[in-house]
Amino acid sequence: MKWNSLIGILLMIGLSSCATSSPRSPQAFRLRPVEQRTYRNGLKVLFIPDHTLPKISFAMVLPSGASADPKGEEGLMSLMVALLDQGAAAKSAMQVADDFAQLGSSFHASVAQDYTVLSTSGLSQYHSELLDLFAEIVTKPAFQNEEVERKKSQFLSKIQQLQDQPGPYADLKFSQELYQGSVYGRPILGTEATLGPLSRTQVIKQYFEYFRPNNAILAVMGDFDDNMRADIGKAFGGWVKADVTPPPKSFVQASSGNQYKIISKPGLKQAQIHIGQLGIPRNHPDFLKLRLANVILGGDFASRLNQKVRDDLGLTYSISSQLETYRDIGGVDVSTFTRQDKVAETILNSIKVIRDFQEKGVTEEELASAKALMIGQFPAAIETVDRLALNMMLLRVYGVSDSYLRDYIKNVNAITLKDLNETIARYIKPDQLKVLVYANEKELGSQLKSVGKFQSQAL
Amino acid sequence: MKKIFQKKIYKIIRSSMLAHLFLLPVLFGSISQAGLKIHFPVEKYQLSNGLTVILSEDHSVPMISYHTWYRVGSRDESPEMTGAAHMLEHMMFKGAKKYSGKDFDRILQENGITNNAFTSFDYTGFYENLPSSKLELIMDMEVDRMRSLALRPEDLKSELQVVGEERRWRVDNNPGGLLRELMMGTLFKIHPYRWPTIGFMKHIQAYKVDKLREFYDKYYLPNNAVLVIAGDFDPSSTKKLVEKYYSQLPSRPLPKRNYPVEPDLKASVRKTLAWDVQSRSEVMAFKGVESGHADSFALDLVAAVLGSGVSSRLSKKLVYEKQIAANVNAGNMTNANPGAFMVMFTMKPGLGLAEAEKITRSEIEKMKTELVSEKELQKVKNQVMMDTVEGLNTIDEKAQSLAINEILFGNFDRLFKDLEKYNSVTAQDLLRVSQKYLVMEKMVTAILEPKK
Repeated sequence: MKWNSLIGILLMIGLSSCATSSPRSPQAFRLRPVEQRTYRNGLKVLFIPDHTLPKISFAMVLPSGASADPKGEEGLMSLMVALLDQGAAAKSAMQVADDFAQLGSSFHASVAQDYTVLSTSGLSQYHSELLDLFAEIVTKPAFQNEEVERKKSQFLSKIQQLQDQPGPYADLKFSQELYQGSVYGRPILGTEATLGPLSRTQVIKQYFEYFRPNNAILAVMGDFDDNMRADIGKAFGGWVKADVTPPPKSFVQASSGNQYKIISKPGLKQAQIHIGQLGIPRNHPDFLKLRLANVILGGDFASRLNQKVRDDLGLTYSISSQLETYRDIGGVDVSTFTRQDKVAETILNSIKVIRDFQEKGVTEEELASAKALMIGQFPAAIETVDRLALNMMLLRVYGVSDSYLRDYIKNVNAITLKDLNETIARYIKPDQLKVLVYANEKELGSQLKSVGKFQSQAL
Repeated sequence: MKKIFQKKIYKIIRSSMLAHLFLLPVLFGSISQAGLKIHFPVEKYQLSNGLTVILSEDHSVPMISYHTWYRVGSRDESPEMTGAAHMLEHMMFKGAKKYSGKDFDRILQENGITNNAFTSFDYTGFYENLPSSKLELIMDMEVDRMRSLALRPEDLKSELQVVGEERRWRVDNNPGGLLRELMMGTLFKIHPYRWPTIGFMKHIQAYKVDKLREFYDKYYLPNNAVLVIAGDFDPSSTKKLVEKYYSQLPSRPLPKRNYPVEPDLKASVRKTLAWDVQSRSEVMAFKGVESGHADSFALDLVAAVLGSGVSSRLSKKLVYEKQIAANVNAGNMTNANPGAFMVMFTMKPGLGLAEAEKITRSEIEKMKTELVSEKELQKVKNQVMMDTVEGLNTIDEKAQSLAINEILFGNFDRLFKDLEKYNSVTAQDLLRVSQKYLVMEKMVTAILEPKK
């Protein structure tokens, strides 16, 4: 199961499933039945059966991610989560790896700012072995000292090697710029300075602080039978509940005027560019409207940014805008890349598209088209039980009701041109942008002067 | 996750008047191996113009995945115009007779449709994911660009800048892409696999419309295409639509294709590239076999034993025990023509390659001298089974799996039959293919290292 990539799938949900024999319209389809139960220790479990493939998946989401790292201990949640399968119960790290592999399976864990996702999937003939392994890892990690040191060393390498991947490196640096001053501006993996001193004691403390059944949602998906409810009780019954402190709120002050920064690395052959601004949190009432607006700005091939910067001007292979929404804050991130002699032209044209968008709004035709795309692709967002479960679990992380999914099509349809243009005028801020360039500054000449005053930083 | 738009292309074609449908029996693709049971309907037939049509009905969501793949890739290019297949794929989005370039993206979005395409060494594929009600629209649009692509010089002018950026993104500014290009260019000296699918920059900058049109006219034909429709449709009315739209396309004889046979290397070759990187990376590569070759199944399992996942032999040694590598992988790349067996690793920053290389060589030698245990063999077979199941999660993945098997083997049913072949591989087979293909004296080593 590709959970990492699933996280990229739009947080939509919705409908569907009962098999019929003739084509249907999206409006006609209903949410697949999901059973939710809460076990005695507070563990919430979603059961979503699907017998079309001989496959079973387990996924757990905890509403605690890197934003819960104590100040100065950035990277702690990622480190702890990466250690879960490095030895559990009486098994060593390599025994755990072998046990999963023997079933044709593997364990995946990822930490985002607001949540952590753990998952595994395998052939349903091995469902009980897989469940036992998954539960062992989640509830009985060993956190052996030598594993802590080994994983820290791997993290440090990963951090250093990231600068060889221009796209991901620029993504990270831009998040730090945009959300500077809040927990969301901190790197999820931590830094050399914060990881170095982390100890086994801190790892264990972090685990017991957040890894509690009453702070977790588990989903069981796929080809299982009625015994699974009891099996879950058995596998997770010994997991002890405890109070979990919710993370403190974290905000960022919007900048006054646009801010520009360039990070320079010798040898780069292409420039990475981010242009972004602050936005809204996930549970904001205007979320759906801003999502719709984003489709028109830079959400697909027909978007304004793509049509102008890629198709008309040939400046890039890819440009898109992404609506980022966290628990307390959010942002809009336009990202692209271009050849190093075209950086200024790319930035200026992108900002012009953003400014026109904000000042003039969109047309009735654009609204209808963006609605059609969101509604037309909605079933794909919940096509598989894995996608449906992930959507439902993440809605719970952000305190958004399942009606988001149930009423998605109705609510998208209800957005008017006036609503949308008011939303765009209110939230898009062409004069409060942060711009980041990751390039070889020497290759750029003086072109950036036409954009603004750049703060320069060498790697 | 960032969305990367990969514009690619497609097409379809051909025909004679009212095409007769050559119907094959309705098939049910099914796998029933070692406890694994998968069953879904698949029907294949051919129009009289040679277009292969595969239908797989699935009403789980009100959507259709529509794939059009052509048997043309970068291996069909000349060494003087590398990347032409990929460039043409891009131009397929720049308009045809009925639907202009700007109209194309706009109309798709207005109708709730997403789309993309890709080019490989051996084939080019285009696909759309659409609401069920939009099937006829997509056929009309696909037939339009299959039959009468615009290929206007002004569109090409801006699109070759786009592809130039794509090349920088994939290769020139990407250490992994550079290393792969170095490795393939060293392992292959005669066969077109020696150049990258995206092409060399000097060729990208110099494409001309007339040359691309020749390429288009030669290969974008119904008798060179496979159409896969999977999802929420009615088979009987869909067949009528396919006939209505596609049977008007004329077929033409395909050019005779003689791909040169790559001779064995006479001695091992070592190539090093210095770059602005933090860590050393290495690929050890051997000439491999083509897709479907009898030895390809055992070679896939050898790759899995050596370098698939954290429980693989090399990951345990290099990443976990010795803690010298950041990651390691092994893969058996099979194409329509013989591909490559590769082991790749990236060191932690500051570390040299010698120890990792020594260990890797020793693990490869072990594959040639010691039988893999039954337990380890079952492990890698289970991984293959799981990969097959994971490739069928969505209607789009089903369509892809059917298309690739049909394109490579002329038989989508390989998707189901190959598991039997994996299951019958023995430990002795792993030993034998390791001895036969992983010959150190014929190995290419490609290295990327930090500039001094």
